[in-house]
Amino acid sequence: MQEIYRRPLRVYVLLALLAMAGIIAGFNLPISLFPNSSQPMIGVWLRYGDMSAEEFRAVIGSRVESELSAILVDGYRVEHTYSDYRDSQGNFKIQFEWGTNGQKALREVQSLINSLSGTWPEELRNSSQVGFWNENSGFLAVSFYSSKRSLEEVYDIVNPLMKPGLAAIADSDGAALWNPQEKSIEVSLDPEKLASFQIFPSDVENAIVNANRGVNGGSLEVGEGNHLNIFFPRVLKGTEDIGNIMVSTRAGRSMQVKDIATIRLAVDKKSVQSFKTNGVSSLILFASPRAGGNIKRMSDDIMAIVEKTKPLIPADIEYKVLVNPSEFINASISGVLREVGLAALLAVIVLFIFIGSLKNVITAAIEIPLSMVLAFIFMKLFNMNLNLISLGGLALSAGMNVDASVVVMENIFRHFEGVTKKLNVDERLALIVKAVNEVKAPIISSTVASLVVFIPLIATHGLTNAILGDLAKAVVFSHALSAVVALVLVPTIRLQLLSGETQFHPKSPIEGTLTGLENIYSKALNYFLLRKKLQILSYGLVAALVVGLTVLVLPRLPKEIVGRPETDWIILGIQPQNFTEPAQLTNLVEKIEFEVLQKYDSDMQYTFTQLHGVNDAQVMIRLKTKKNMDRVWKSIEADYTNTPETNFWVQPWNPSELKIPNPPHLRVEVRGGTASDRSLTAHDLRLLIQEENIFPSVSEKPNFAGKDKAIIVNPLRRTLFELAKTDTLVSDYDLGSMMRVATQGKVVAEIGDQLKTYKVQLKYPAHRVSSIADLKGLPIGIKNKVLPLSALATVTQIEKPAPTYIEDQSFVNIVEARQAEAKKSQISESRLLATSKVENWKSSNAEVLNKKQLSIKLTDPDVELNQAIDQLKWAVLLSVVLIFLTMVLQFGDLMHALLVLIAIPLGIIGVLASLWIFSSNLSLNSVLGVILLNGIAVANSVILVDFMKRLVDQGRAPVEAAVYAARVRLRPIVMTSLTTILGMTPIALGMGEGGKILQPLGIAVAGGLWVSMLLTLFLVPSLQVNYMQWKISRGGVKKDNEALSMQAGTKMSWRESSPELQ
Amino acid sequence: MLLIGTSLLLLQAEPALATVEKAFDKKAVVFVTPATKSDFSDLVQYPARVRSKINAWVSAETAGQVQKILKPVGSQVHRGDVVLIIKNIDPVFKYAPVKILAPADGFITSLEIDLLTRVDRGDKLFSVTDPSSLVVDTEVPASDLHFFKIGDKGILKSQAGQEYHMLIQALSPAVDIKTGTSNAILTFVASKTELASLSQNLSQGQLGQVLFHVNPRKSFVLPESTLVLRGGGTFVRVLTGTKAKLVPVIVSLDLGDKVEIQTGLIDGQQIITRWNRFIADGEEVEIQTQDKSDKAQL
Repeated sequence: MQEIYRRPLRVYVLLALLAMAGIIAGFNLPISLFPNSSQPMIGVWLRYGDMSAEEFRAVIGSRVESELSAILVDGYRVEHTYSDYRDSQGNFKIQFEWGTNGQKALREVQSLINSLSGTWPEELRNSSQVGFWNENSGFLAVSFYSSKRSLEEVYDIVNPLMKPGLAAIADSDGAALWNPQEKSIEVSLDPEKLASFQIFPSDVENAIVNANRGVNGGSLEVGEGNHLNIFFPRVLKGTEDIGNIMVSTRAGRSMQVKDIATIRLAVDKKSVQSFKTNGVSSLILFASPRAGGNIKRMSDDIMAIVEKTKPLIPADIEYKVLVNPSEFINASISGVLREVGLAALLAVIVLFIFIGSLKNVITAAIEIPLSMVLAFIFMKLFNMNLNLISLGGLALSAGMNVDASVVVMENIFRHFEGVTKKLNVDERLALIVKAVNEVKAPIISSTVASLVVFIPLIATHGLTNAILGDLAKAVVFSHALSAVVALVLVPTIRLQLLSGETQFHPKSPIEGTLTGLENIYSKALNYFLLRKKLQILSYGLVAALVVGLTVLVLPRLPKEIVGRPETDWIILGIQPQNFTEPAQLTNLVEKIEFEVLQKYDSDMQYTFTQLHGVNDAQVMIRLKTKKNMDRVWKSIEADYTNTPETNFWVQPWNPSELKIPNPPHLRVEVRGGTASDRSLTAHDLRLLIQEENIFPSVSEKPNFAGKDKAIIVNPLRRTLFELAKTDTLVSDYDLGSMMRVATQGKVVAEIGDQLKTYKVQLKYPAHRVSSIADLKGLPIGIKNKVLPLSALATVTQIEKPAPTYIEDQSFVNIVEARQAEAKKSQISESRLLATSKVENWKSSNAEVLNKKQLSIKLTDPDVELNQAIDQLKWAVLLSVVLIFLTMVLQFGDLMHALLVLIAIPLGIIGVLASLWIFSSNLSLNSVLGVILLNGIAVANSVILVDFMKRLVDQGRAPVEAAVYAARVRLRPIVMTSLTTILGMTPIALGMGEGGKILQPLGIAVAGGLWVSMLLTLFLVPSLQVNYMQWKISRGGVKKDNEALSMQAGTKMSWRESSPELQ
Repeated sequence: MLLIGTSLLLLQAEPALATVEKAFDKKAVVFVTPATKSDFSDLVQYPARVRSKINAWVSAETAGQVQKILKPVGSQVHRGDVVLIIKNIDPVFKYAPVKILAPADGFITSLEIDLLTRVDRGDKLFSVTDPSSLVVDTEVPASDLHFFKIGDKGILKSQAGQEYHMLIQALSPAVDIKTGTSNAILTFVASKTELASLSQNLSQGQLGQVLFHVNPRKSFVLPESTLVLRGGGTFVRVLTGTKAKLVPVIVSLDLGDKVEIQTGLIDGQQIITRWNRFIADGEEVEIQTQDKSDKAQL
C-alpha cells in the first residue's frame, strides 16, 4: 500500500485511464428502456390444405405441438405452447424461458419443422412458415406531406430515395413508406361477357401471369467464345399493356383482356392496413422493430436516413415525426440520469453539512462518479445495456458508495488528531497506511455485507432475474469498485492535501445544531432506558405494527411486476365483432376519432390512427402533458365501454420493448367436452360477468364463433365428369378462383419496373355478389349454354365449427376480464364477486356440466407475478440468513447477531407503511428495496451494538455505555443513512420520464431506512441494555481491554471525548 | 407517532373494504320493433339469355354459286322477299338461278356466305330474326326443378339494371346429363306497347339474371344481430312491460344479415332489436325511439 500512496501520479494516471475506458464503455453501451433479456416467442403457421381443422390436428397438429414443447436451446426450455386451429390454418406459438437466445430458438424451431414436414403433403410443406411472433408494441411513424404536390407525387419522389436504406435496417421488421393512395391496376371482369365467350377468371389470370414472365430464349454462340443471350424482357408496365394481353377461350378462340374487362388504375379500397393523422390519410413512414431488435437503434438509424434524404428532395416536401420511441427513451434515460446526478448532489450536500471543508467533501465525493464510470467497464464486459433498471442501480449506489471514503477519511483524521508537530512525507505516509490498514478489513467486510444480499438474486430465474439482474449487477459493480477507490485514491489525495493542512478536524457548518441534537437524543434515550414499562410497551407496539402491517396492509398492496414509465400517449382500441368490410371499420373509426378530437381538443396534440383489416383499429392520442394522463384515461374509458357489437380497450402506451406479463384480473378456464361445448360455456360465463358489470372488459379466447357462418362448396363430380367426356374441363381451381375474384378480388401479378410497380387485381364489378343467391347464380359459359354456378357445385351456408385452442397440449377455452383504471382499487373485490357468481353458476348447471364432461376452473392470473414475488421472498429470507451468519462471524455471539438483525423488521415497518401511504405498488423493485434495505439498515445496528459491547466489556454500566455509544455514533449513523435516503429521494419521488418504474424501490428504501434508523436509535440500545443487564446478573460479561477498533460497518467520529452524560 | 401512523393506516384501509360498485348506473337503452309475420320466400337466381322467338336459318337447297345478295345483314325483310340468288352449277338444270326467299318477317341477322361463294346442298346461308318477339332462356339446375312449373313468375334483371316481369312458358322435363340442368323458356309479361319497345333495350344474345321467389310463406324475419346465443340455445329479447326477457326461438333460415324464425315468437310481441350494452335477463330497460338513434352508442 505504501508504494501505491507514495506515487500519486501513478495512481492518478491509472485511474484516469480507467475512467476514460469507463467513459468510452459508457458511450458504447446500447441504450434501451429495459434490460437486454427477452422471452422469445416463435410462431409457426401451417395451412391445412384439403384437410379439415380436426383432421389436421389429429394427423399433424398434435405431433407438432408435442415436438415443439420438447425443444431445448442451450438448456433453456419451452415455457408454454399455444395452438390455435382456425378455419384454414393452424397457428402455433412457442414461448421460451426468459434469457433464451432468440435467434437460436428460431433456428431450432425451423429445423424441427423442416424435419417433420418431410412426410407432409407438398401443399402443406410449401405453405409452412416459421418466424418470430412479434409482440413488440413500439414503432416509429413519420409523415411526409407537401402543400404543392399530391401524396402520390410525394411518394414517387421520396420512396426510391429511401427504400434501399430502409431495407438495410437490421433492427426493423420491414420499414416502408406507406402510401394511402397506393394504386393498383383493377381489371374489372364482365361476368356476362366471360360466360358468353366461355372464359373463366383463371384463364385471364394465367394469361396475365404468362405475359408477365420474361422468357429465356437461350444463347447464341457467335465466333469463338462469344455468347449472346436471348431473352424476352417483361413488357407489362401499365393498363394498356394489360388490356392487350390475349386470352384463349374454352371455345378455341382468342380475345384481348380489354374486350372482356374494364381496366383502370384505382386506389385499393380493400387495403388491409391504413394510417391517418388527425383524421386525414397520410403518407407514413412506418417501422416496427423485429423481435429482439433494439427499438432505439432502429429509430435512430431511420431518422438518420430521413435526415440524409431531406437535402435530396424538393423543398416543398416536409416531414413530421409523429411517433419516435427514441425520443421517449432518451427522455426517460435522461430523467433517470438526472436522478443519479441529483442523488449524488444530495449525498455531497449531506457530507458537507456533517463534515464541513469543501476539500474533504470533494475527496469523498469523487468516489461517486468514479465508481459509476468504472462500473461501465464491467457493464460492457457483461453485455449489459444502459436502461432504466441498470441506471436505477447506479442511482441507488450513489448514496451508498460514499460511505467507504468517509470511513477512510475519518480514520485518517483520527490518527492525525494527536499530532502537533509538522510531519515529513514518510511520517505522514506511515500514519495514513496505518489508518487505512485499520479500516481495510471493516470496509471490505461491510462492502461484502452490503453486497452479499444480492447473492440470492443469482438463484432467481426467469422474469425476476431478467428484470432485477441488471439492477443487482449495477449496484454490485459500482459499490465493489467504491471500496477499491476508497482504499486507493482517497488516501493518495489525503497524503497530498495533508502537506499544507493545519486543521485536521474540520467543523460542520451546523455544528451547534448537531451538538444540540446529540444532547436531546442522549436525554431522550436515557429517559427511555430507565423506564422498563415504557420499553415493554414500545416492544409491544412495534411487534403489533409489524404483524398488523404484514397481515392487513401487505395483501392489499396492488401488485405488479414492474411499473410502467410515464407517457403522453394513450391508445383507444376498437374491435367490432361483426364487420365484414374495411369501409365499415373506417366509418366507425372516423366517427370515434372525430368525437375524440372534439372532446379532448384542449388536452391533446394530435391523433394517429391505425386500421388493420375489418375488425381491429387503434386511435392513438398524444397528450400535451403527461399530467393529464390519468384524467383522460378514465374519461375515455367511461365514454367507450364494451357493447355487444364492439369491444373497446384503453391503455397508456410507451415504446417499451420488454414484454412484461400483463395478466388479466380474472381468468376462468373451461376444459373437457367438445370444442362447441367449451365455446358455448365460455360464452355464457362471459355474458354472466359482463351483464353484471363486475368487470367492464371481458374477452374470450378463442373468440366466440357462435354466430359466425361459413360457406361450403362441393363440386358436383358427376356433372363435371360428364362435361369432361365432351372435352370440357372445369376444375375446382376454376370454380374457386372465380368465386374469389367475384367476392374479394384476387391479386394475380405485380407489374412495372424498378421505379414503379403495380399490383394487378382481378375482380368483378362492385356489389355483383352480395348474397349467397348471387354467388349461386354466377354465370358460367359451357358449350353454347350459360349455366349458374349452382349447376356445377352445391353452395351451402353452415355454422362455423367452434375454433380449437390448445395451451400446453391441453384443450381449453378461456374467459379473461379486466377492471377499469378508475376502479383499480376494487380489483380484489371484483374478483371475489366474479368468483362467487361463477361458482353459483357452476352449481346451478352441475348436471349439464357433468353430462358434457366439462370442468370450469378459476386460475390465478397473477401466477407469473406471484412466482416472481415468491422467488424474491426466498431471496429476502436467504439474505437475512446470510447477514445473520456474517454477524455471527463478526461478533462470535448469537445474541448480538440477533440484536443487530432487529433493524430488519423495523425496516419492514417503514417499507410497508411508506408503500401504503404513498399508494405505491408491491413490485419486484420494491421487494428488491427490502433486500437492499436489510444490508443498509443492519449497518446502523452494527455501529451501535459493537461500540456498546466494547464499552460494557471495559467495565461501564450498560445504560451509561448505551447512552455514550449512541451519542457518539449518532452522527455517523445519521450521516450515512441520510446520504442513502436523500440519494433515493429523487427516485422515490418518481421524477423524470421513467421515474414510475423505480419509484417503489425508492419509496421502499427511503421510507424503510427512515423508520429503521429512527427506531434503531432507541430500540437497539434498549434491547442491548436489557440483554447486557441480564448477562451481568448471570455473571457472563467479559472485560475487553483492546482499544476501540473499527469493525464491519462501524464508522467512528473523530471525536473521542464526549460530553458528560446527563 | 406510531399511534397516529396506525390510525392513518386504518383510515386508509376503510375505502378498500367497501363493496364493489355493482351493475350499471343507467338503464340499458333499446330499440324495439313489433313482431309481425310478413311475406317471405326463398330467392333463387340463374343467368338468362335473351333471344328472339323467331330465329330462322335458311340452308341451300341445291349446290351452286352465290350470284347476288339482295338483302345484306341488318336488312328488314318480309316473308317471301328474295334475299339472295344462287346460280345452279349443275348443267342438268341449265345453270338456272335459284331465288332464296325469306321464310319470315324480320331482319337478316347473319350471312354465312359471300358473293360468288360455292355452296352445297344443306349449307347454311343466312338467318332471319324477328327482334320484336323476344324470349329468355335459362338453365335450371336439376336440384331446383321441384320449385317450378309452367306459369310461375320471375323477374329478369338486365345488365343495365332494368327489371322485367317474366313468366315460365316452357320447362323441359328432361335434364341434360352433361350440364345437370333443364332448359326453361320465359316470356315477357307486358303490354303491347311495352313489348314493342323491348327490342330497343334488349338484344339477341344479351345476358342477364332471372330471379324467382320460391317457397312463399309467412314468417317472422329479424335482423341477425337480434339473436342472443347462450346456454347452447338461441334466444331473442322480448320486452315484457319494461323488462327485457329472453325467449327461446328456433331459426329456420339464416341469410347472414337476416334470420327467419320458425318458432318461439308471437305476433305483436315487442322484439328488442338493438341495445347499447349487455343486458341481464329480466333487467329493466329504457325504450329509445328510432329518431334518437344517433345518440345511442350502438
